[in-house]
Amino acid sequence: MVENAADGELVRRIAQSESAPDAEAELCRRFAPRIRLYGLRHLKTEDNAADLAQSVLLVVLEAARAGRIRELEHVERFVLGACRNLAQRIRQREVRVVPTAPEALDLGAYLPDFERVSLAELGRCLTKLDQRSRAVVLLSFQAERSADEIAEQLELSPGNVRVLRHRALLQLRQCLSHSKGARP
Amino acid sequence: MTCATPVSSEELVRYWARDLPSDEVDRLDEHLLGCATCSAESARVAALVGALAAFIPPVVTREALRELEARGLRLEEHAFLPAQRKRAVFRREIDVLVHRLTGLDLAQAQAVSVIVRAEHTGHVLLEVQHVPFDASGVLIACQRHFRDGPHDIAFEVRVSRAAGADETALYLIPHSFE
Repeated sequence: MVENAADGELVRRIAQSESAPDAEAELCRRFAPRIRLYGLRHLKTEDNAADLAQSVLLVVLEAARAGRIRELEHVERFVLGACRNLAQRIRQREVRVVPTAPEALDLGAYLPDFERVSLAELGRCLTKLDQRSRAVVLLSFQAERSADEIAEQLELSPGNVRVLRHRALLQLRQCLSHSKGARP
Repeated sequence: MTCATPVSSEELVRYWARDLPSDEVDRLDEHLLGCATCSAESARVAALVGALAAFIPPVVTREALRELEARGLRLEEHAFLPAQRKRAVFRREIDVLVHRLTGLDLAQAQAVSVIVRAEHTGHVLLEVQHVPFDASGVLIACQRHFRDGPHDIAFEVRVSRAAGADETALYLIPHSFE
């Protein structure tokens, strides 16, 4: 069962066989969502994140087939290296990832339906936060201000900003999960 | 699916808030790429952070509207008077429909709050205290996802004044979405 195999075992199977579609699919299924997240964190947009996932998976598959992934205990380190290199190139616009034929890699098949937060519910939940906490989360994630900048603007300490931001996100998640449960 | 060294929720929030030193970011990048449990938790934080980045408050300032336009969003603005029933049409071509609630004496206003109700059921959809306002009125940023809620909207604007002569105005705005 490929689902239970370690990452290194999947890579070993891909390297040893001329065709290991199950192992390749499982490796993609495992890493595609994580690479997308890396892309969102470092490249910000969904389009860039999807481009990154597509190109990194192709690099990883090629390397696995050629037996070039040496550290089987830490396949994620190879993936991380590919993420860093390709993210840098996407940032510099050296690569607008070439659309890949579905038979080469159908990325959509490996990305699950991601959790989406309803903006309407979020709006309702934001009104339940106190004014200062609401300002902290919106300044952090909308205006992309640092904890130091927010601290100065709201006359708080940076540590205080971090505590308020963390608590506010927990409150929002709790509120959103209640709204979900309350929906018919 | 377990992790022997789970990333704390504080760290994840700082990671997504871009508030960690680069060596810590590198460490988390590696861990999250290799760990299904922590990656799933990170995805939950990312979904909330992404929604916060996309969120537009329902009551906005003029400056916020200028920023939205600068981001490339297409806005359309209409003025409304109290006690007047006037339809708002959210056209396909626009991203934010701005309702300017006018006809209020806001010169002496200390605080303004807005209650949004479904007109026919009276159900409160939203209540926001201390909303921004200026001499031209109160600006409501109506967004496409509001179509999922009731369309027969009544905005109740409460103005508190120092002298105590408070005022409440009602705006009846049935909505339709193209």
